[in-house]
Amino acid sequence: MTRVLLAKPGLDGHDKGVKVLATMLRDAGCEVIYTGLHQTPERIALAALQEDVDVVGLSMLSGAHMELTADVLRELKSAGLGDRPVVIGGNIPRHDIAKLEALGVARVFPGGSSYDDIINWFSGLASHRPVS
Amino acid sequence: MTGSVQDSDLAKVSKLAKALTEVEHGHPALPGSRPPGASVVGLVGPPGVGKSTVISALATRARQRGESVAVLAVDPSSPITGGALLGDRIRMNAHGADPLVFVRSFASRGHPGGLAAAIPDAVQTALALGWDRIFIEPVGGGQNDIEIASCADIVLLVLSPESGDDVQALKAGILELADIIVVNKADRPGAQSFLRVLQSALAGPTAPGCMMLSVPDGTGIAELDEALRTQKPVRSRRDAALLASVMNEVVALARRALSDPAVRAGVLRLMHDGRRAEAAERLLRELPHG
Repeated sequence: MTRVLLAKPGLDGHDKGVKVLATMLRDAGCEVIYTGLHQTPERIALAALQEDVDVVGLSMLSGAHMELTADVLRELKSAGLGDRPVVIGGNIPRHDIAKLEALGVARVFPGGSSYDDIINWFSGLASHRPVS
Repeated sequence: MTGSVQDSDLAKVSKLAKALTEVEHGHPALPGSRPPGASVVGLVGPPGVGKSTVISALATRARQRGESVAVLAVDPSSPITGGALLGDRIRMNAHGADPLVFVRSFASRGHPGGLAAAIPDAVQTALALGWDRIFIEPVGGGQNDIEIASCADIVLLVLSPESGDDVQALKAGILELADIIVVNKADRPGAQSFLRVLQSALAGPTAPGCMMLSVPDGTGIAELDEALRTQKPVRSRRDAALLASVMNEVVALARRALSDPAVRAGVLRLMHDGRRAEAAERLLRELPHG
């Protein structure tokens, strides 16, 4: 059972997209934890730690994705969650995708990404918990 | 973390987070005794009455005393896809930067009655790791399942003035389940008359106490907090609660048996023929072992 944390860092107040994604992932069999609007990078890392999720998804429409992503990755690392993949969605210009991946983002889904591509990517994730 | 969070707090959170994942994967609870003065409170009530908001207000008071808080919140899994949308964290946002208000969302994963199968062991694990105040928030609706009393010391029923028409329907469940009844949103019109209806519906020597509560203006929070700290655990219903817990486990096993296509087809064939008792017996014979 893949556990997914979906968060909106920063000041943008539009969460229609992330809610559609949450419903899509639920219908694909994931357990989805949505944290609500206006989360700081530190709060996102704390939520990911408490929920012990397999993957963290960030939705950003504000244009501040480079700074916020770097902050979230740093906070996750210092919470001991550097091994959890981070995936980004939202208004992401094409020329920023490679830069985000260079920061350590596992995958970027800019506007216009297909339903199948997104679901297939999440379905391919392994649980972070080793099978005992 | 880089901000205000202390390393020792982070270690405490990390330890519980990992232990709860093990428990959810079927490992037994961590052994150990509870911290002195610890309490486990279960909150039941219809959806939308403000259970998460009440927990948040009680967590604020516990944190002022320096106590650690763990909230175990359950939301339903889809019986079709197994997926779940877990949204209880949103209403705990006031504590989002405080590591020692630990919120863990559980999907019910086919466990009937409002809890997840892992909750009893999750409670024991949190206590063993030194967490002081445990709050359990089951799935909203279907509130007469007594299993919550197998792992909570105190069961709190949260209602709001809008719950008016539900009181008669809830009556039997309330009397068996709740130690304390809270009328939340007491600032709304009709709260006083609702309290009177409630009290007359509950008349009797074993009736639970009723309290008025309004989180925005703080009415009743201190009194509720005190009541929860002094209420003696009710043991007389513990056997009933434990039996409810094992019955829910049997139903969960039956659901797992039904995921085998051959079993499913056999049971459905009997049901299509109207042979319900035989279908149930067939399913019972197929319960997974070990």
